Amino acid sequence: MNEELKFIDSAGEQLFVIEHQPDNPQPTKAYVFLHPFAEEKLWSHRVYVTTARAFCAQGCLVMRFDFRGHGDSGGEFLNSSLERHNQDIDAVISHVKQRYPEIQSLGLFGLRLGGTLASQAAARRGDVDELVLWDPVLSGDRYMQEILRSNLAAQMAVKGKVEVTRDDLIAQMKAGKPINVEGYYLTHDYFQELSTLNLQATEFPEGLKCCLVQIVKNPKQPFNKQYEQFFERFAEGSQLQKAQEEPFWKEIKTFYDRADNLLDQTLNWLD
Amino acid sequence: MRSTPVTFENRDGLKLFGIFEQPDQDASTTTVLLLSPGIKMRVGPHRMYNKLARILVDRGLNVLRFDFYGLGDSEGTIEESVLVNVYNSIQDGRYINDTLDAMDWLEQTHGQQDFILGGLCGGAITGMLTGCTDARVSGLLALGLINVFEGGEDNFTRFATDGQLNSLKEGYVKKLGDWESWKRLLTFKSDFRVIFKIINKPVRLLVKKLQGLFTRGDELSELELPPALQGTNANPKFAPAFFRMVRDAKKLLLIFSGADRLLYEFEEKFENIYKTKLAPYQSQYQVITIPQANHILSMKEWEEEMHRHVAEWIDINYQKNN
Repeated sequence: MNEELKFIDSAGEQLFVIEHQPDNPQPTKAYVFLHPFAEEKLWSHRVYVTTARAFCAQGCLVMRFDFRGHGDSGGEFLNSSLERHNQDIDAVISHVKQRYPEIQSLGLFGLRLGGTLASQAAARRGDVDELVLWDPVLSGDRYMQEILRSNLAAQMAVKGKVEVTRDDLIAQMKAGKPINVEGYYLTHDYFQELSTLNLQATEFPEGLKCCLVQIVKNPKQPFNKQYEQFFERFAEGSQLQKAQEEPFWKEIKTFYDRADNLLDQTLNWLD
Repeated sequence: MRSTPVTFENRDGLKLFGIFEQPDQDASTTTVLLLSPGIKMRVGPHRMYNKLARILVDRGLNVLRFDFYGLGDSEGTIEESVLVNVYNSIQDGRYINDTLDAMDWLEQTHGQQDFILGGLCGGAITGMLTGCTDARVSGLLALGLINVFEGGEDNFTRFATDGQLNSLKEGYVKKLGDWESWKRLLTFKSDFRVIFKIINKPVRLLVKKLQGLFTRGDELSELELPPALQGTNANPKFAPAFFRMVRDAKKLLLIFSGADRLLYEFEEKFENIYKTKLAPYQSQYQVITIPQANHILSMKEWEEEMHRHVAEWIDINYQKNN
C-alpha cells in the first residue's frame, strides 16, 4: 500500500487529498471518503485513517480529502456552502476517473454529516455504485439544532450561564453575524442549507447499493425506525446493520483510533 | 504562501505526514514547528495551526505542521486506550523523538538550523521538553503550556488548583440561599471532598509556607519536586526543562487563556513555587494572558489577540527574518 498526499484544484482553490493506493496497480474499485462537520472531523480523523487503510488492504483505491474550509484545504469555513461541498466532491471524483480509468465501481463513504453529503452526491451524480453510511444525519434540521445546543453548552462552560438563547443565535445569524461553533463560524445561509437537508425525501438512482450502519451504545438497542424507512430505497444487496461503538466524533474518555465493530461489519459487506 | 505536503520517516521507520509552509519569496533560515495538540492532528482545533502558520509565514518564517506517530495521517499506533493516559504520556515526553526527527529531516533536506517549537497544550510541553536539550532550538511559542499531569474528572478533588477552588467557593456562597442546593447537601449529593478541600485551604496554605521556609527550589535535584509540589499532579520534568531553556538564553513566549485552569496550574505549581529562582530570567520569557478565553481560543477575538502577541514577539526576537 502506498499513500500519496497532494493538492488538487477545486474551483480555483486547493483541495487537500490523500490517495491510499492498494498493492494492485490497477484497482477496479474506488471509495471516496467524506468527512463529518467541523470539529467532528478532527475527533473522528484517526478512525477515518484506519478505515481507509483497511479498505485499501482489501484492494480498494481510497481517496480521503478535506472539504474547503476544513483541514489542510484552502478556503475559509465561513464561506462554506453545499455548492462548494459538491464542487469538492466532484473535483475528487473527476481526479479518480482521470487518474484511474480502470475503476469500474465507485463508492462513497461518510460518517454523520459526511454520510448525508455522500448520499446527496450519489443521488445527484448517478455514477455512484455504492454507499457506506455510518450513522448518517437524516434530518439536517435536527442536526443543526444539535449544533446550536453545542453553542449553548459552550456558553455555559465559559460564562456559567446561557446569555444568548437559541432564538437569539438564529436572529444573530439572520442579521449577518455568524455564530461560533467550537471555533468555526457558521453563517445563516450555510445553516439554512444544512437545515433543509432531508435524506428521507431524497430520490436515489436505481441499483444503488448501501451499507448503512447504525451506531448503538447497546447491541440490544432496536433499529432506528427512520433508518429502516430510509434503507428501503436501496437496491438488493444492501445491508442495514448495527454496531456498538462510542461517539468517537466528539471528545470521550476513550482514545479511539479505530472503530472495529463498524469496520468488521462494513468490510464483510464489501467482501 | 507555498504549502507543500511532505512525509518523512522517524527513527523507528514510521512515515510521518505534514505540511511545510514557506513564504512565496525569500527562503527563510528559521522554521517554526507547530506540534500537534493532544491527539488532534496538525491543523489543531478549529484550524488554529493553519491560521497561525499564515501569521508566521507572513513574517518571513517557514512552518512545519506534522502529525506525530499514531496520530492524524501518520503511521504507527498508540497502545493506550484511555485518552487521559495518552495525554499524560505526551506530557511525559512521548513525542520528543518525533520532534527531533522532524528537525533532523528539515536540516538535511532544507538546510534549516534554527527552530522555534510551538503548539497548544501537549504541543507546547513537547516543544519545551525537546527544546531544552537541542541547541538548534532558539525559541518556544507555547499556547496553554501544561505543567501538570491530567488527573481526569475522577481525580478532580485531588488535583483542583486553588484558583479552581476559589471559583467553586464563590459558586457555593452564591447558592447559600438556594433551597435546592441545601437539599443536595443534606441528602449527601454534594461533593463533600471538594467542600472539605475548600474549607481546609487555609491550613494547607500554612503547611506549604512552612515547608517553603526550609527548602529552596534551587537546592533540589533536577527531577525532584519541591515539598510544596509533592503529592500533587505537577510534572517533575517541567521545571528542569523550563530552567534549561532560560539558562540557555532561549526565548519563551507563553500565552495562557484566562478561563483555562492551565493558567492557575502554571501560577500555583510553577511561578509561585520558583519565584526566587525565576527572578534573574524575567527578561527571558514573556507570559501573556488572554482574558476570559477558553483553552482552544475558540472566539475570533481571542485568536486574533493571540496572533497579535505572536507577531510582536516574532518581530522583536526574529527581526532578521523580516
